[in-house]
Amino acid sequence: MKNMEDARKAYDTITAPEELEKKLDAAFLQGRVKRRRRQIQKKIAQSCMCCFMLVCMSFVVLVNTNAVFADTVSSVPILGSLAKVCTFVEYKEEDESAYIQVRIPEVKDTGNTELEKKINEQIREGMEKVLNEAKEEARSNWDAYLKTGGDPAEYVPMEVALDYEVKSNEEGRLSFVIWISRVRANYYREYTYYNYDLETGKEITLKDLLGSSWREQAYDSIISQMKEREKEEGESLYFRLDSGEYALTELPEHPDFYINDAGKPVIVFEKYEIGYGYIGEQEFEIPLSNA
Amino acid sequence: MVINEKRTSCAERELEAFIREHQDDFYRLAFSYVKNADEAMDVIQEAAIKAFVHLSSLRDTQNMKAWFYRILVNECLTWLRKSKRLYVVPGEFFEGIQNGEHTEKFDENLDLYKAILRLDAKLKTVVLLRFFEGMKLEEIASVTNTRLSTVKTRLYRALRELKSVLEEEISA
Repeated sequence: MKNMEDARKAYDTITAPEELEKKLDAAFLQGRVKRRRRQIQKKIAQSCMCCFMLVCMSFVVLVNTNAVFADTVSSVPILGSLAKVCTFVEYKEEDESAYIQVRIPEVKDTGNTELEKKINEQIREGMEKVLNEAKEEARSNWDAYLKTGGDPAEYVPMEVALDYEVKSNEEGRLSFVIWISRVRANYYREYTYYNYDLETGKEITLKDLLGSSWREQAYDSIISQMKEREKEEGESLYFRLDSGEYALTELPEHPDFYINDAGKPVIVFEKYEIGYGYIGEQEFEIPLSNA
Repeated sequence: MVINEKRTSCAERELEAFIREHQDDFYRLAFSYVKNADEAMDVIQEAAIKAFVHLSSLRDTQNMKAWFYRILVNECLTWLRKSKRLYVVPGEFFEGIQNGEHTEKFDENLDLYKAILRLDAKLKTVVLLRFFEGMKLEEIASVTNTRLSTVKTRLYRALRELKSVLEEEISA
């Protein structure tokens, strides 16, 4: 006897493999993460509730710092513009606490493999450190959330992105910035700069570029540029003391900087560091002295 | 906004519970389209993810059943379109059935079931939902996003095609 009821019985004997449980677990996790991400995107679109937390790490790599040597070398196509910054690894990972996107660069074709290796190792170490910090923070946020009785379903994972940008690659000098951003409902920001001399493997300071009076020289240049910008805008942009002087009375001992296409150092101040939030990051190109 | 979030996360839990509770039903249904255990699980997984992502589109959790079946059926149809594996491969088919004891009765019943599996996807959907998932025609219309009259037409056509296999009269 064949009828629909019997066919249904045949149908009902089909049972799901045990693996389906695991596949569903994965689907629920992934579904929640994707849903959170959509909600985050919506929120960002709707308002500025989320702050971007930036930990900026900048590597300014100088193939050489000796001006005379640079002149000589720039005509020899071994060093200099041949040096490349390539993406070494690119990956995404996610769990319930964080969604992470990473692009780590590596320096290639500098003509000096030993130093290349050293610099790339340093880049990777630095990246690993900030990434692990971000992951730990994401994890501890998640743990704390659970411990305080938070509903896992409502948790918004931290979004972490690590990327880089080449600032300049001229005349044997290679300058690029690596940054990590974290999106959470609180605010945190930190810059770390590394400067290397590819010839000696030593760290480089602004002094190497601007001479012994770099601090005064750069400060004067920055102050005059600040005045110019305020004049252009027709309003006060930077923090001032009661006396009317700028709150920036001297440069920090190790200012953040990169080197631009013109081979000049560009000193960077993060948001809120010297002026009102709406002006954002402030960059000042410092003219080179003849020193 | 907080209230809204609470409400949606409550919906998430409800959705999760719903999928877990009916996972065997979903598996049978998905299996009837894709005819392969791994593919069936993948289709369900994909449907579950989509359900989470688009959960906000479900205004009333009362309608969850029809809503999720719609996602699942669409996922199955998408899979068919992509794979173009439209007919039964007997070997694969039996591998997928996780029941070790195939009785004679089962094999006999299987003829009709196999005939159903050979139906065009649209006709098959109506038959599976009506007879195996026990849905009302109105619900099927909601799942397939078609008019009630369309569902009736398809059901009629499906039964006519199955008639040679069906020896006895069936009640729709």
